[in-house]
Amino acid sequence: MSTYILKAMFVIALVLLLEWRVLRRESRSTRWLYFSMLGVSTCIWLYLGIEDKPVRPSVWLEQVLSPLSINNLR
Amino acid sequence: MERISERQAMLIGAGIIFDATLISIPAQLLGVAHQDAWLTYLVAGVAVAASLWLLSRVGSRFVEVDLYEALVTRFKWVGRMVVLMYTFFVFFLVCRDLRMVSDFVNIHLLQKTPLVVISILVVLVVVFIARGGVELLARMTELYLPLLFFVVLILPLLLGKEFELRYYKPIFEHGVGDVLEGGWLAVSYVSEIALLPFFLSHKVFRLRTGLYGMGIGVFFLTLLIALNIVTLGPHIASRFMYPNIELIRQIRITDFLDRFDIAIVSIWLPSIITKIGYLLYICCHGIKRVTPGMSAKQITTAVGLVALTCSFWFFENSIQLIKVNYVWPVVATLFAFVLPLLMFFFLKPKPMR
Repeated sequence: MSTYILKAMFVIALVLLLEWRVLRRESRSTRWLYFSMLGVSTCIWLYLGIEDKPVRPSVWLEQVLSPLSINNLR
Repeated sequence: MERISERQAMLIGAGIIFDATLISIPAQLLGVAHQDAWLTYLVAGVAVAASLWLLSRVGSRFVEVDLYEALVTRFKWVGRMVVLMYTFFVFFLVCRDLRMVSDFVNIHLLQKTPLVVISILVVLVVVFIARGGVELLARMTELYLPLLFFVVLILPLLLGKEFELRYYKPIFEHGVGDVLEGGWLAVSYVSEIALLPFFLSHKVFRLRTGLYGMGIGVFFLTLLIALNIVTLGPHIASRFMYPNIELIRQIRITDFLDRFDIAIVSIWLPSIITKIGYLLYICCHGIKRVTPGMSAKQITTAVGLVALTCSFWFFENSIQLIKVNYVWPVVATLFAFVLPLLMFFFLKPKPMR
């Protein structure tokens, strides 16, 4: 778990280090969206680190659309 | 405003169809349609031509702007909803292609490198390219795609001695139904060309441009799958994860050129990275249209990072990517046919008083 937190912190620190000067000049809405996306990204990363069997959107999509799958229609 | 020529738009269309489809779906098409798999892309092409016609008709009503802008300016809230839906669709494509390339590199080139390291490197390049804008992307396509097409064109010459023309026969052994099923699977990839009018105005992307681009992409995909059939045979080729790579491995020109696949992959990789760059650009472009005052260029890195984590979250492994292909045509149909049809009927400029 701690490795996942360290990796996430390292990547975010690196991104902010490289982008902060340009980002500072941007509008407030751009900065907000930027930081929220970094937050979402970190949360997903940590979720993948914590959960042994995470819920995966593609599996869910596959289950929902399985009646229309070509394998089931044949 | 960034400007690109019609020729560049045509190449972008061909690249969007060709680059990712090479490693994603040929084995499944061969499994479904067997020796008639070479017809599947043609079937998909005919269907997608109808979608391009619809989008071109809608685009001709808003000559100066792309369809994202037309949607947002014409219908304030519903338009934004539709743009957001397309943005999520494209975001899923970014994640899928990103994971597909990372898996491919991990399986074939860098077996001992962790997948996450490969993905980070790919995202880094994609973000830098996408930030350069559509002009830079178009120039990269102009540089690498013709080279890739040239390599595919000379493949029949290099593989000639391996050909077994009997693998083609009997034609329609399992009926036309299998070809149509294969076409249904192929539609999900060929229809990605329908995304072009959403970031290119009608001045650049006309019906003719779209059809030429699609024609080129479909031609080269058909050529490759036909080579797979006559070289490897439909039964063996359908059991490979990446039949096209196995096809290239059959090339043995002399003793010193027995790994010709590395040379070809080195041309293909920049092309697929450019394709992911387009998708990332369209994604950021969509976010910009939904939230005015936003800088699409500055949020590219953040969107790239979310795509990186989502590519690990959405797909457990490369098998999952293949499984999704069986249901993905349903989603692709919504975005390539149903929504364009609704736009055709409802998206019109305000009547002049």
